Amino acid sequence: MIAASWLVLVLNGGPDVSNAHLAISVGGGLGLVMLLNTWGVVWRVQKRADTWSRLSIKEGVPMPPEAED
Amino acid sequence: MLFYLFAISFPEWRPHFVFLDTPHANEMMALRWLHVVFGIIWIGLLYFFNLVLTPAMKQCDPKLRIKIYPELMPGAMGWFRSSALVTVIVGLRYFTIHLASDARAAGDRSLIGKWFGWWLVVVARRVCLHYALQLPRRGSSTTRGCGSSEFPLL
Repeated sequence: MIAASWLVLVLNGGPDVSNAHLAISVGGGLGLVMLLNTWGVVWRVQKRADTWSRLSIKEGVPMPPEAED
Repeated sequence: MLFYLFAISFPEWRPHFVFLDTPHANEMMALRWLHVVFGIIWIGLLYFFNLVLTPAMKQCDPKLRIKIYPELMPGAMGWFRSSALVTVIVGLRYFTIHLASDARAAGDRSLIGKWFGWWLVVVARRVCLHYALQLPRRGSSTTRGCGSSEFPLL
């Protein structure tokens, strides 16, 4: 995170660039990574866990061992 | 009632709301409000998951956990994902307004594309690095990066 923030400041910093622009470059970068993590990692894991739980309740399919992790 | 009486007695105490002078300034104000409100919903749920729900679920009996999760998580995850999306889309619009303003001041409109492009390259590079670490292991429900990355459930 620090490396990416430094990099974007080096690439885009300069006399024509406002403080708000640079501040959002750093914070917005963090926000976009968090958004992609929410949709791409957390939700993917959640969908699997949800399917396992529903199958377990409705059809008595035992939860797979990796669900305990 | 008491407040109403006060408001009648002292006109300057009456609640008043005025829009800003230009549509542009009003748009910026609306974007800030939306960003903050949806950001609170997103990050509030994130810390509820990390600080309250996950530790509480670990204490629960697995059979109870299986019953609770399907009722709880679709709603919670729906709000979590949607509010994240709204926060970031609104934030991107706000960011581009600032980029356009800086580019106009510098007298070169093409700077918008250059600045936004470099920013996107840096973010994409970072996403590639993190995504490889955080995908679930084969056959596992957990995210490998949770313990070692910046924040759990980030």
